[in-house]
Amino acid sequence: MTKHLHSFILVGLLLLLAGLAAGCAQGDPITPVPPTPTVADPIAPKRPDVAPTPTPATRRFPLPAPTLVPVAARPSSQNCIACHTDAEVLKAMATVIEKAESKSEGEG
Amino acid sequence: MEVWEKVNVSDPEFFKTLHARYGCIACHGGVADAADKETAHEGLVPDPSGGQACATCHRQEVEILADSLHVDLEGYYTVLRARSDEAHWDQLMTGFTVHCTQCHATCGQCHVSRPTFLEGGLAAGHQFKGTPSMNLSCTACHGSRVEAEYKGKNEGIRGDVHWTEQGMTCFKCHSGDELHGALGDRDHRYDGPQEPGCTDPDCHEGIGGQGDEVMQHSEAHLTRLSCQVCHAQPYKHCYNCHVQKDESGVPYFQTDESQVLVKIGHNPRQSEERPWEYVVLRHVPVSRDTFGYYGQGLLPNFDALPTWTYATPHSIAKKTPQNETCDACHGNAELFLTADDVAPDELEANKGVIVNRVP
Repeated sequence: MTKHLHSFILVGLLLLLAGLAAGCAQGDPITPVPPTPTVADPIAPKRPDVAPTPTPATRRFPLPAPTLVPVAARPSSQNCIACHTDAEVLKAMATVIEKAESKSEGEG
Repeated sequence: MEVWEKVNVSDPEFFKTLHARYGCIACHGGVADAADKETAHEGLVPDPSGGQACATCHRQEVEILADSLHVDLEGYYTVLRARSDEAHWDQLMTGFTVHCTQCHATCGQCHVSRPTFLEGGLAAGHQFKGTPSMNLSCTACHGSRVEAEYKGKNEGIRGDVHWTEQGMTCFKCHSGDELHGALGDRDHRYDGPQEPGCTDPDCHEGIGGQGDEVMQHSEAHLTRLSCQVCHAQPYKHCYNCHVQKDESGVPYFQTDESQVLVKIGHNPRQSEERPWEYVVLRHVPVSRDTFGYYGQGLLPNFDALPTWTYATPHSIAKKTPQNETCDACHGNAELFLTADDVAPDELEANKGVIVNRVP
């Protein structure tokens, strides 16, 4: 009886050691699983019902681009202003052209 | 206006404005720092608005302005083309250029100065007016007919109710878009829709509809008569304009005595937009030999258009002699353009507008 008990214990210990050794061994590598096919239909991007209006083409443009003249480079207007804001100077320098009398008659 | 006043930049406030920042020469040319007037004025552009000056900033307005009847005078060319032909066109244009193109307007002639027709001159010390002066810009040119009617200057005739009771300036009805040509390229001022129209939004909407208690606003009247047939007071008619030059080469014109009266006739411009059978007609001063000084027979197709033309007088009143009673209009031959009102030489031209049977 004692002899059988010892045999059982020995076998049990051997099985336990074998189990532990198997647990420490390297397992199988994890490989990615292919994606599950999508069930729902993809949503189409929303398109406008009416094609966008094209930018209207101008009729007579482009005009020549304006030339930006830096303030410092602009010709001086001081002489113009000096005369054209002085009524007495303007009167003195005015060239009066005698206008011929028109013979117009009646309502225009 | 004295010649020196025309160029007097009398308002110092102008120099605080955006337009002044660019300096005189940027728009007007000329020579800076010159020692004398003649040198300073070399290359001077007195009215720079026709060129790049305005378009630099007001690009959109300048682009459409080329289609404005005030600029291209297309209304005149349209009727002259109809009455003339290719063989006589150059001679006709010689006379037209001498006598009629002063009516052409530029940006500056409305927004800065008085029009060339009034011999120019700064209107407000060189201030730029977004809304031009009614008196210096509009009625300065449209004086003998529009202003006289609108302000009640025709003897015995009240002014237009829009002026006398509402004080409405020209721009209340005639928008900048209309005057700038932004509503379309028209061949004539009565082309296309009514601009403006009496029943426009915020004006006389609902005429003839529910709530309109005016018995005369019946469907029969409203579909057959333009508003002016009932609501125009007497307005001016001009006759026989002849243009020529005197011995010194100074151009002049002569017209016969004008008349002030209402004349109703058949609509010469009947269309979807102007569907009425009857409208008021105005005699325009053209005659078969208006340009006779410049050549014989320059209007060989004179009869192609009536001389009694579609009109929209500015003499509107709620109560007028013709809408006082039914009989004031119906059967009243005086109100209608009948053959005896028309000069014998113009009967053929006006056969489409003459009323043969007074309704």
